[in-house]
Amino acid sequence: MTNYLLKRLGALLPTVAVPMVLLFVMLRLAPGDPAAAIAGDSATTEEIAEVRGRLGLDASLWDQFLGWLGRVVRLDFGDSLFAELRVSGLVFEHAQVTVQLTVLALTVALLIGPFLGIAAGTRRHGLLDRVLVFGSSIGIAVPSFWLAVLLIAVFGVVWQVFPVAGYVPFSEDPVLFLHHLALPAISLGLVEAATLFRYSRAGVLDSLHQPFVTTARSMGLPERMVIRKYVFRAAVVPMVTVVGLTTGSLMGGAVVTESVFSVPGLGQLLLTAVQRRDYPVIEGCIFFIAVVYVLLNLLIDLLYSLLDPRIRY
Amino acid sequence: MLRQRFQDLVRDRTAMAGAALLGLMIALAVLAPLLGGDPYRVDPTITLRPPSASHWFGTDEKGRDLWTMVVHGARTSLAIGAVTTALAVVTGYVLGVACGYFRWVDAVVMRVVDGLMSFPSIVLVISLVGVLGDGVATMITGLTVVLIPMVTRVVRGAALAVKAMPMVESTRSLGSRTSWVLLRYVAPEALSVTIVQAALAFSVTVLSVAALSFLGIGLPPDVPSWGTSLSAAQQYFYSAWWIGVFPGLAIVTTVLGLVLLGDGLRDVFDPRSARK
Repeated sequence: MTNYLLKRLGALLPTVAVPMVLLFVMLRLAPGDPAAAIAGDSATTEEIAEVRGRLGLDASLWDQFLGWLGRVVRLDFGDSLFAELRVSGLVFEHAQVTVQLTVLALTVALLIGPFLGIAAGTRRHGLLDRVLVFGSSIGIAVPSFWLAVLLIAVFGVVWQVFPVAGYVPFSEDPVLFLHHLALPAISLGLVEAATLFRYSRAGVLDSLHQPFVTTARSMGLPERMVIRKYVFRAAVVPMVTVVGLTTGSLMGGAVVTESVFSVPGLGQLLLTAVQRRDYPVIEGCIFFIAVVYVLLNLLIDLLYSLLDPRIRY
Repeated sequence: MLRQRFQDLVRDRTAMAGAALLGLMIALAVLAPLLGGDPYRVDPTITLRPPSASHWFGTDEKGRDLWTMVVHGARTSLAIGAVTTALAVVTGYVLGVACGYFRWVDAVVMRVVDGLMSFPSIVLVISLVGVLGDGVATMITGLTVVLIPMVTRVVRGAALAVKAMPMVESTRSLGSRTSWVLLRYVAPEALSVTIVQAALAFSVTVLSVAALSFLGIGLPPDVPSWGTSLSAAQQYFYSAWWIGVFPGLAIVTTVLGLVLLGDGLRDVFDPRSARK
């Protein structure tokens, strides 16, 4: 088991390392002087030199890399270039909001996608199936931020049942918390539900032709029982992997959706950092998202062995 | 062979519906200068006018004709999409074939590909734009970097499958050079899955460009783009619904066309994965 975990961690290491190294390389390859761009147009030569020193851009490339690696391994991303704040603190504070939004959106997606997928898969070529398959194609084509804009217009502005922007911490008021995050979670979750729908429908179609399903039918079990006890279970297990991938794209989507609803999450932190070229903060955000993704997928691997007794590590 | 597949594709109703939608958007993009007016002409006297005979889609908050903005937005989206997809597909194809055939390339490249694949691509593109600075070239670079792994992985799988085929083994035992095996057997076989990936990559690009310009990242603010128009719609939706609706419909039409066409292409070119 420990052996297996270490092996998986090794395999997942590139997910953290590659984006980080890519950012490191890109900053050094960037046309022009990044330090001058960060310091702004009116900066003096000394100010630019100071920024360059803080970013460590004045050393040789190899020394820069070693120093950078040492800091990343110690989880030290330094201070924001624009505020006297630790990057780790900033990221952690904003990440909580994003994690909450992601969990809510995942709930929405999981409540809708797999359920409809099974309904459509078991009625293949029926009217419901066709309508849902077409609907899911549209769901995949609709950008979540456009859905967000539309939802705000209908439920926030015309009917005024949900607030159009803002965030209330859960600890302050759980009801207001949900009230504020409802529209962001729905706009994010609905789009992802379309993907989950496709996977679960394919999973059902797949397992309908499995030998054990034929056996169950030939034993004379009623079709409802066959679907509930055999088809459903076989279709659900592979979904667990999909949930891992979905969570990745939900975190990505959250970055965009947060900006529509002015939710103070990681997305807002990242966007502000990108606009100001606050390099340490960008690095911290990317690192955090990658680590969460890796841990989540590790967890899902373990969950697998619980759900499917054939898999043992 | 190719002709047969093309005929299959034409017979596939979903694929043709997708092709029609995509064709419509391409026509709008190509004919934009004829169909619309000047996308840079700002007229403060006619801001936020509802759709009418002179302005089919109404006007936006700066008094620009929204129909003009939408057709020129199609130009922006599809041009960036085409360049990015071409770069990503060519690079990913070459890398994928190399990975599938040479084990040492595989060991190195696939680690990088795995790392990039699992990371949420939009976050990575946003960050790369943040590091490299704004601009169309930056955006294309960032998008290409995140799309290459997607193509590479699938092409590699196809190349590995071909490599294991008896025909490759026999031609190698007859003394063919590696370059011949690659050109004659591996490359053509891997091409069909690449076509499917191209449609997918194109749809990802169109959505990403829209999301980035919606966030005000990458494209200069005066370049007509659907995302930029929708971004303005956030403020004016109540008084001017048309800004929030038409650019969004343009995105959905384009992406839906690509998704449907991609599904059809997969049925025809990659039947093993399609009919699972």
